[in-house]
Amino acid sequence: MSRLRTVKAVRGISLELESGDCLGVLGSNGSGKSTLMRALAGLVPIAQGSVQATARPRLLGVGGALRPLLTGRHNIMLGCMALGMTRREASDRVDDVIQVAKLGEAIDRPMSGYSSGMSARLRFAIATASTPEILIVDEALSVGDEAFRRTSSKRIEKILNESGCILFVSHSLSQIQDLCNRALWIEDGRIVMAGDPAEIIHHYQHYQQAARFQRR
Amino acid sequence: MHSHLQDLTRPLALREYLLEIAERRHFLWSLPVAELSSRHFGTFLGTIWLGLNPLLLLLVYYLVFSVILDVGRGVENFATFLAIGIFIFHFSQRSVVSSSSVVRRNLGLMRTVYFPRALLVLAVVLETLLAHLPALGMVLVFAAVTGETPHWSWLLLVPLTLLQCLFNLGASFWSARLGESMPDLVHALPYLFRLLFYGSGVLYSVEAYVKDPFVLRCFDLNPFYGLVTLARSIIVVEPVSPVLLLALVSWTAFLLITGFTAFRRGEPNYGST
Repeated sequence: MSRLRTVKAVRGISLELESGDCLGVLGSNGSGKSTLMRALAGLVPIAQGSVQATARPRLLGVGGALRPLLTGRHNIMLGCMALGMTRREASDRVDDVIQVAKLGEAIDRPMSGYSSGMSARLRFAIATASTPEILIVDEALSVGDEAFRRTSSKRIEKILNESGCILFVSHSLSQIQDLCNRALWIEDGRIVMAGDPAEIIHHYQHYQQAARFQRR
Repeated sequence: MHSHLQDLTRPLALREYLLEIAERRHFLWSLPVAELSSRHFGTFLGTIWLGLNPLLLLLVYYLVFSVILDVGRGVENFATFLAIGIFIFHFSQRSVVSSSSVVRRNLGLMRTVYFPRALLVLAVVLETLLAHLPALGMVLVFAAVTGETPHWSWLLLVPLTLLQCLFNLGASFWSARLGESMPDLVHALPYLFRLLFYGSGVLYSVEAYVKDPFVLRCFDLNPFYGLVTLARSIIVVEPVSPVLLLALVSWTAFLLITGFTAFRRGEPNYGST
């Protein structure tokens, strides 16, 4: 996206979520999912409309290391304090976060040597170190392996049980099916469908097959 | 469930923003420590280099200007004169240059957790201060060794250093904001500072070379000249120039207000690409 040109990436989207809701967001690449998430987190100025929430959503996007030269453990401390914890609170949390990240001995090695999957695990663990009221996960879990998928699902369920609210952008339809109670499908910045995940995934798969066929 | 709904599209009020910064003071203290320890990561002496760097530099100055060459250029204790100038100038230079790339260096952190991004700039100034303090202490020892008499008025360096921190902060907000939207600035800044270095009397006594009163007035308006000269006046126990002090305070207030405003205005876009 050019800084010099205004792009209408998302239009006319209106939605309301309650605590305990987990919304899966689907759409092709460039459909406006990430822009919508950033706008909801209050990170992108919007031309029209408004975003009202009980708390500032915590947005976890795709990215590399936090501080590449620091160890995973040191990064956890730093991340927890960035969330607003004191040094003592952060060090009380470290073991808990390490358990979610499941990095073994690598936790004491510099983060620069981590694979993208390991980085994603650590970043997810840090972002959920204290239970967020509203969490937005923007494809940040796509790179993890099966074991991590299970741990992160457990963590997500815990947040939902504590009456949190999650928005979940993923290309993994099975993950959305498993975790979400609602789904939203957007294309070209507009809502195509909203409602029951199973139904929307069904239609979305047909759409994708058709698109693939057309390209051929 | 619609109680306490807040509008996220409206930027935070200044008071709330400052509160969010205050809540994260532990983060503010650990960022510079993390930065400093990772910079010296892998060296045998580690953070001892923080004190060793200025010490070695001072030894070189002493050797060159007091033992080998006996140049004064119109200054009595030239080695001390030079040492003060260089360390004071470098403190500001490091803050501003490091801030110009601070947003880019912290993308991973910004994409994982939310925090007021102004904390990053505050941390840079704090980090450069932590590196500056041992240097400043050694300059005082050096000054005493090379013939200056320690005086209680040296304590005036404390408020001067605080003022310099605020000045650096204001200038750093600008460089962080501009460096984020124009990454090429990171490469241009060292040359700007090279120019300022020669134009601020770090290497020579301006009074000894410049006779034209108008040109001298122009030097007075340069805050870097002010910083360097005020520190020298304090250490050689001479009266402090009120004109220099006024110019420096004005620059500091101006840069702090405009820099902070400009930095906050750009904040929604940091970390988006």
